Amino acid sequence: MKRKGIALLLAGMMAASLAGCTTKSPMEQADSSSDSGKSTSESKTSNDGEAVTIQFWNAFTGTDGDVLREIVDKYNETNDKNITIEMDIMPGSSLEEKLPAAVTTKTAPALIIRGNFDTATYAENGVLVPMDDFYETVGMSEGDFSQASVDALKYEEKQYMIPMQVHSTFLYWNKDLFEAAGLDPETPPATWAEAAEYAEKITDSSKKIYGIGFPVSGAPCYFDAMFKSNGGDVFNEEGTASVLDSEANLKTLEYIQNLVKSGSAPVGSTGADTDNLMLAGQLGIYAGGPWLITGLKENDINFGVTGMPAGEESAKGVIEVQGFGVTSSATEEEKAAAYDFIAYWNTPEVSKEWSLRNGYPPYLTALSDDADIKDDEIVSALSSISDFGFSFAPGVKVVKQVNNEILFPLIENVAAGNDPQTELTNASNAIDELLKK
Amino acid sequence: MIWFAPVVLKERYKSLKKLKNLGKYWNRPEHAAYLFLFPSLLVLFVFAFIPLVASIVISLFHMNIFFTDTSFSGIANFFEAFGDSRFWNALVNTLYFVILEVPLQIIIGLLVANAVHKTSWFNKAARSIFFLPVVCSMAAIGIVWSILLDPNIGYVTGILEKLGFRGLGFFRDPNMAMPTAILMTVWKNFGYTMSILVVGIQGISQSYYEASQIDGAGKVRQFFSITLPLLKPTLGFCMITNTIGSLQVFDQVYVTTQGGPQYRTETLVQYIYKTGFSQPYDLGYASALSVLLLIVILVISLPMYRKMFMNQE
Repeated sequence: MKRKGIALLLAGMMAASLAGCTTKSPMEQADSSSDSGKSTSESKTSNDGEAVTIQFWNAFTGTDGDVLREIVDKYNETNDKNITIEMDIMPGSSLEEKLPAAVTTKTAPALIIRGNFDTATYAENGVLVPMDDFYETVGMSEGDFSQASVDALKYEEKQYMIPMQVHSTFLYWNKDLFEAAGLDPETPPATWAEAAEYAEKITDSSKKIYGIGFPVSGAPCYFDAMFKSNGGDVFNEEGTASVLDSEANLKTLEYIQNLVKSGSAPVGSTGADTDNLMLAGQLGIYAGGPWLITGLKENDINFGVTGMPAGEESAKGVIEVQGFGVTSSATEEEKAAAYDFIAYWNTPEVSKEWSLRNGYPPYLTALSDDADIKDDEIVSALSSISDFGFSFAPGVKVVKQVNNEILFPLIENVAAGNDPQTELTNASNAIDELLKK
Repeated sequence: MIWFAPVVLKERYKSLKKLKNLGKYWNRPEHAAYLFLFPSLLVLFVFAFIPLVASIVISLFHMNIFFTDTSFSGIANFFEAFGDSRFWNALVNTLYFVILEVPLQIIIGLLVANAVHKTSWFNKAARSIFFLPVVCSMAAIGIVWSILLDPNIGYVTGILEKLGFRGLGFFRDPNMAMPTAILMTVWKNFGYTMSILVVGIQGISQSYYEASQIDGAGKVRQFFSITLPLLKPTLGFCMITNTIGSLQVFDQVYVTTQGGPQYRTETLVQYIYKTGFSQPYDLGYASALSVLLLIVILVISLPMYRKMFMNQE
């Protein structure tokens, strides 16, 4: 009897699990409904016209993801068009793996958030559809956004994504370490030359305190900005050839190498390692992203943040833009729903809430003189992005690969003590080879 | 219609008999085995055989992950690999990992298994503790080890510096990164090898030990003359599975070093992943690399398999 009971129980569990298999995942729901021409539309009990549910993938896995979820929930509750956004937050690498397969099988979500460095690849391979009709559809204009933010999301003159968030690298400095080194804690370095001078004063190897940090992977591409502010560049204006092998860039690399050699900068630290050093109060000066702010506040680090320093020429910082994109799997109905949500996101109220709560610079022109933004010391400092930010290699398809596979290793090899000129020439040749492919 | 009834009954009886015969047929052990094997075979077919064939086919194409630019390229991807210095670097790194990790894991697993194979409360507790890292995810372990061994803020490096060992870079040092990843993998996985070897040792008849004891053999002699030779099939199994697993090393490198510093820990699977699933999204080339990895695995593991198991027969 006991055996029979167990057998029955197991059979029941198996049947239940098989029944569970028939429950559709959101992706399958999207698929089956798009097959029927109605896309992810689902009937909702509301009587405000036909209900639409769209899938929304992004990689906001940090605390900013909670704020994003709140905003999405609020939109779902308040929009009068019967639209529901079903959001799936996943690590960036997972999104990058899943999206191509989903697009190929026409099961991709209607709405995604990706970075500007993905624009060209996703546009060229049919992942995203052009959104030039967005402004007219929702009653906005390109002029409502900062020019650099919309330019970064264009490919071959077409708008493939609409800005969702803008950031760059900013110069952080640890005020306590400045004071301990006899420097004025309220005056950050205005130039890279000053940064080097200060870094050497701050460094105290006995306490594992470093003056400045240059990550060799997994960080924003601060070196593109350093090259530019010293008069160098990576690509020619057309984005068709490398101009990396130049005297100006050589000076930048020698600058980094000298600081690592003198012990003022840690050797071979990744972006996460260097962030951790800053968060532990062991790093004096660091060009990092705005996501550092929350951690620095939580760790009670007495810090300041300002725009990037100047080089031989004016200060520069690479503008990185996260944008909303509509995938080729979306139906017209889903696209309209996605547009409505993107327009909601880009209202001054929601955009301001996102900026203030997460410490990101505003990109809507309506917020450039906003009193609340100006009152917030940190967000106000980050707003200087409009002075130094530039869009790096827009439209160049291999830009992400160049940064990750060529330029980061270049910095790593130079920091490890290799000959800067040889490394520069090799990297430049590698870029040209990649551009030819 | 009544005259028709016996015919119908006869037909039904026939089909019942057929059904009974069918039941009888599948109830025989040699036939029933296939029924039990079927679910596993189906899973293997869908998730191993089809992807394997697909990889081989895709490796002959110039194809990206979006399927937007596909053309037949024959063995061009393989030629590209032979001229790709990063492929050779990844292959050397993978072999370096295998050559150090597999023997280390088996030796440590064997020594620990020999020490804790007897059934006692203490041994059971020790075996559970040694097995604990096996059930933890490599991602979590990788992150913890990275922080513990960080040259600037790491707890372990801090203690080592106090003991006079300064300047240890671990995952940051090009020369130390791979040995550190190997050490971490051995620490995580030796419990698995140990548990298999414990079962193997427990399966050895006690009479051999008793007889050797009467002949005056000590513990060391018993280990080398009884335990080790009789454990050969189990050791062979561990060796082959560990070697194949190590040739596919990925997650520990992905979490801790991402292939750095200076590509010194970039393994074949890491390179395949980067090539196929991030820019340049080159599925054809990534598949060709996968086929080459399959060949490497076959070249290394088949002779091992023959040596270990064919002799037994």
